[in-house]
Amino acid sequence: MTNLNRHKTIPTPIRYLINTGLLIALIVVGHIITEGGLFQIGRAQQRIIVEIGIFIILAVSLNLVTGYLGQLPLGHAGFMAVGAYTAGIFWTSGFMPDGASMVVGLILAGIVAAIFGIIIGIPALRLRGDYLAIITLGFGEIIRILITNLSGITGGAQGLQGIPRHSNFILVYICVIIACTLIHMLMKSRHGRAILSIRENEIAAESCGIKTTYYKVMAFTVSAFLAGVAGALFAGNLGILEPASFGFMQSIDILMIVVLGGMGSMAGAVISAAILTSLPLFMQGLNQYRLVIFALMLIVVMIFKPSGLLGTYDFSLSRSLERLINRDYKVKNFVRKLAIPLKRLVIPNAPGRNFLKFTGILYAVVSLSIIAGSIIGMFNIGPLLGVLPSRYPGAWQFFFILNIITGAYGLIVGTLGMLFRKDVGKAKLLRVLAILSIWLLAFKYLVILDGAGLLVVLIALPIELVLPILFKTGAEKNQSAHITSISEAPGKDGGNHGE
Amino acid sequence: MVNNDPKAPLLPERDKERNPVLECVGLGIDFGGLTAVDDFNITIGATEICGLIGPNGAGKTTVFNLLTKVYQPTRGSIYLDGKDTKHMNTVRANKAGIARTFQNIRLFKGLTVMENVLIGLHNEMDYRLGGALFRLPNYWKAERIARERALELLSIFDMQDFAEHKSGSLPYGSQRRLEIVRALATNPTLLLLDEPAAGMNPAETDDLMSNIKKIQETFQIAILLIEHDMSLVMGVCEGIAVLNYGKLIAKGTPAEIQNNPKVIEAYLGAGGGDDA
Ligand SMILES: Nc1ncnc2c1ncn2[C@@H]1O[C@H](COP(=O)(O)OP(=O)(O)OP(=O)(O)O)[C@@H](O)[C@H]1O
Ligand SMILES: [Mg+2]
Repeated sequence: MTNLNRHKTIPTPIRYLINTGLLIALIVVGHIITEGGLFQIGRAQQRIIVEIGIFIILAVSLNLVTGYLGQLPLGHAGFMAVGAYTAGIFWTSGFMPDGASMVVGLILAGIVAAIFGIIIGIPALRLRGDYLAIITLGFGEIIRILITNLSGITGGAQGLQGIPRHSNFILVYICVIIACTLIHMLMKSRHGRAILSIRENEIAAESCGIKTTYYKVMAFTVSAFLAGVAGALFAGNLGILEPASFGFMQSIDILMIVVLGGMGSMAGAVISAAILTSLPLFMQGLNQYRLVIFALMLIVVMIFKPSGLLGTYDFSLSRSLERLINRDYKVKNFVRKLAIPLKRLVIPNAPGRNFLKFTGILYAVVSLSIIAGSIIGMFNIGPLLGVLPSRYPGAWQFFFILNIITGAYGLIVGTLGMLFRKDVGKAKLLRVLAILSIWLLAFKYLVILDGAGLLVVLIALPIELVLPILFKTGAEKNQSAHITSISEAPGKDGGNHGE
Repeated sequence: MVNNDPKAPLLPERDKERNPVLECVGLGIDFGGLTAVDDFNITIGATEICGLIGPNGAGKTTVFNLLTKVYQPTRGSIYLDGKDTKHMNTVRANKAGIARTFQNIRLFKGLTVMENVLIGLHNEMDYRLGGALFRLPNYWKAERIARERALELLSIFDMQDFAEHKSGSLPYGSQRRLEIVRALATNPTLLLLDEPAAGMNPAETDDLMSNIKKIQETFQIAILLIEHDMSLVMGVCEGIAVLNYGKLIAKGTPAEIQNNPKVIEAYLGAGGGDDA
């Protein structure tokens, strides 16, 4: 009991907020880097970055079946092909207006691939053993041959041409995020545990009342669906499809990504997809040795870490943060020790309440200036002063609006900080809000890349970084009145020191 | 009085009023030419603790596999709470109220203790795929209740502190206990334990004995256990059935079984004792 009670956890809504915030930040940063024109990125590099995303989807979806379910399919490229051609044919048919067509094509690709998944999965997964490998291998080859021969619909060996290039960074990486989130939500539920139990011990799973065939087919179908979507993105990235792209070696390539990353690790699949897909980028000229290098990498990893780079470890930001809060006193202490002199620097010998008041006011003022700066920017006074870029006025206005929102949030935290400085309970609420500011910080940075805003952020940044820590010690001080004992008592988990 | 007719049912007084939880009639299975179990009859009362003993290779585990529908019987029938289990598979048998542990431990070794129990609670949770993917309120509620329940069940064996440990890293005895907890999580009416004390030291075995009684009392369920440790069988079972070469050779109270010449002969004849 003690073990569990003492374990501090991050409240779920906050965890979700942190993750969502980071993902949005990822998309925005990625978009700016690849397509924002800030960096000199060529068309080829852009295509590889998009391709990485596509292979991440392929790898995490295959990982669902190999890593989590513990089965070995060898025809992932077949589902990818089904999705690619479905979307390719749908998009080139001009059946719908462009925007709608893009989304419908993606979903359609997934659904058709999923139907194939069910059809293959039900007979293949009922049998134990290696039947799945054999049947899916056959399936992959049959699909490829079908595509080659149905040249009236698929363009045959010449290829399907003129596919609209829908797959830009944002679309692909939104799909990546959706795929990873979907799998994460699935795996952290009773359904996901059922899938894991089949990998761990099928007989025991059945004796626990788990419908093993049902869950095998479910995992397999979800995996096929995502492979189909990835296929569609693949089509939209190249603009042309050839049956040769979906051969047995493609299936093996995807499998290798999963094996290298560690079967059963989504983070591993993502990292390994990024490494292996971008490899050609770094070894132009060595391209004919690609297979040799891949094979060598596989051998080296299998010798030194047979379970793959990450094994079954999965990265979780909130878990890492919790570890930081709970166990990693070294880091915690270090940060606190850093915070105390900083605080003294700001207000020598400040008692807690005044300090809270001080940060509150400071925060409110800073936030107000951010808002003001953004409004000024919004009304395009910026260009007059020569501080605003002229290339993306639309995008910048979007940023300004976000800026105002985050500024308003800062104002609220600041005001609350002043209002509730006497109330320990409310101060706890502030602590929570302060954690929020960490992820908003990353966001705000992006938001205010213009000159005027940058100055404001430079002021807000240190405060924001330190604020959560200070808030914490500030609130605790209200409780126990002596700050040093708290910061130097790592074993006692902060909080309730008696008077 | 020695009851020498192995077919006669023999229920504890308190269960006479209620339907027996399990009834096997003429149960038998052949593996190719080998008759592993033949003409096996047993009736277990709703809250009875019953032992199944016999020399090595007598067919005890095979009986468990028949009851849990890992094998389909060649002959005879199994009734669970009066319902014929003829068309059931393992999953349906579990839902009908049978849960078991395994002689060779079959935990989900790569998963945590908590996850093992939560998998046992799988069918106790009711949210569907959509509820999981979109994290609907019924997901949160079911997960919270299940976790609380899991800790409660783990606390039977005082294992709640190990909830976040990998189950494969637990000591052998704890792994056996965790298997019992996982089986209990499926909310059974009949719990089958296949050599639960194997590999435990005498102190652990004593603990296990009192815990088996505790489980029977608190959950009011029937328990059928295979065990070679006679002190445990005699100490905890109200009725005992003895198998030899797939056939039931005796049934009775512990005292009756201890003095049954057929049983003594089977054990001595098999060249083994209870130390097998
Ligand atoms: N699937 C099977 N195929 C063929 N023979 C089997 C199978 N399962 C069990 N048997 C045989 O049935 C007989 C009974 O085996 P069982 O495992 O039920 O014995 P047991 O009473 O549990 O013995 P122990 O005390 O050693 O666990 C053995 O001779 C065994 O070889
Ligand atoms: Mg056995």
